[in-house]
Amino acid sequence: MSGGEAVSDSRSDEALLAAMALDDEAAALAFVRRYQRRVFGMAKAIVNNSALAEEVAQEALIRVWRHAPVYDARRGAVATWVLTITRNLAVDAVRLQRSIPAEPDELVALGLASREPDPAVRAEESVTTREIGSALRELPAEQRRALVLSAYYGLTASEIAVHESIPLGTAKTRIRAALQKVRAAVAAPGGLSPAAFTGGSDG
Amino acid sequence: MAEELGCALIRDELPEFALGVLSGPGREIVIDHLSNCSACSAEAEAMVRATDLLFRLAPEADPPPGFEVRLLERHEQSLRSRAARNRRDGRRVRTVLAATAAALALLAGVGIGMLVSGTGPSRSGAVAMRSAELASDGHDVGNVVVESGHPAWLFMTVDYGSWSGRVSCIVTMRGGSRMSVGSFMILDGYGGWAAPLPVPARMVTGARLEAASGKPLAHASLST
Ligand SMILES: [Zn+2]
Repeated sequence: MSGGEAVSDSRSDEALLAAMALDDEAAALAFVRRYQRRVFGMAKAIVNNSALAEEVAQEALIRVWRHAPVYDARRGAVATWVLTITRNLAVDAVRLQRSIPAEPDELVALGLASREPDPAVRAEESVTTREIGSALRELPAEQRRALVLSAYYGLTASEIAVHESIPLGTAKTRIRAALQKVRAAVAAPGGLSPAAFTGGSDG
Repeated sequence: MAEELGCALIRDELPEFALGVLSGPGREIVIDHLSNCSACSAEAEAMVRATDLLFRLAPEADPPPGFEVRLLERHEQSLRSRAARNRRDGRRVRTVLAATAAALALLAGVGIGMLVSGTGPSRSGAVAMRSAELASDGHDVGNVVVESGHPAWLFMTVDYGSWSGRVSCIVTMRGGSRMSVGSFMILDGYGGWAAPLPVPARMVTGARLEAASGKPLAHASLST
């Protein structure tokens, strides 16, 4: 099933969560349809196994449903919350055989390539997505690496420090600098020029 | 001066806080500081929004066919197993007790029937239980039960957001003195625990949970 039905409920993420907290199944279904591609995609990218990714994705969505009443917008967008829960479960699922990818950047390319052709409702988001992609590409490689390892693979600065054989302070600085640049790129008036986007496989 | 030093330490942690990789106690310390410091809050807000942007790039993939159906079935199951727990009448207390007591009975060598009044012979006909909601910032985050006996027991179930970490349980007693009665793990918001009390049940007037940092997380007042 594609995400075709995903936009059938026009309520915001926050409104759906609030309804889910009151055990509104229709809202939950709409929410699951809206998020299942992202949740499954995140899980699969980390655990690299379809069956395990489904297990992780289902557990993540169940937890979102269960914890809907305590979602706190100050801690991030709904999508960030959902994907952080997914990431943490995925990382836990493979912790024992956990191997940190030699090329974490590949996940960024995968992220850009895997976006569905955007329906009208996501047009604006897609422009922003390109800007973020550009900002990431323009980061110094070591900063991009630190940021991706932390955001998508759930590594703390001290884990990155060990993994990259760098001082803790350096790891922290890289994460911070990268995050600030991502924000600056999108916050700048008009963001980066779309022409600066040199994305690979998303055509 | 001390304030600024505190801010510097917190700011060092904000990127990891925003990216959701800070562990339980560290995360609690940051949240605690943010609730009292508008300057650090503004900085955190900026980091959180940058993280929101970053997660827009997370890869997508179609889940296998039937994903949705299996998810709904799974939710039904988890609802059924949780329904009894969330009831707020007397059965809730009993369900909590039964669940905890099952594990506990093995340790303590006592029968479940002896712990759950009404389902078996009670000791000397008078096992008194008092229960109270465990509250955090006005939210119900669990349940505490104190049961009389020799020794008295304390049971606790916690459903605290998505918090993880080790917590200490401190009981308050008549006269205001406090005593730590042990610690246990909360994983992804959930924890259940039971322990014998070194004092008679009637002495206990309340219980609280503290994070490893000493930060109070939740408390319950037991009416006497
Ligand atoms: Zn501060």
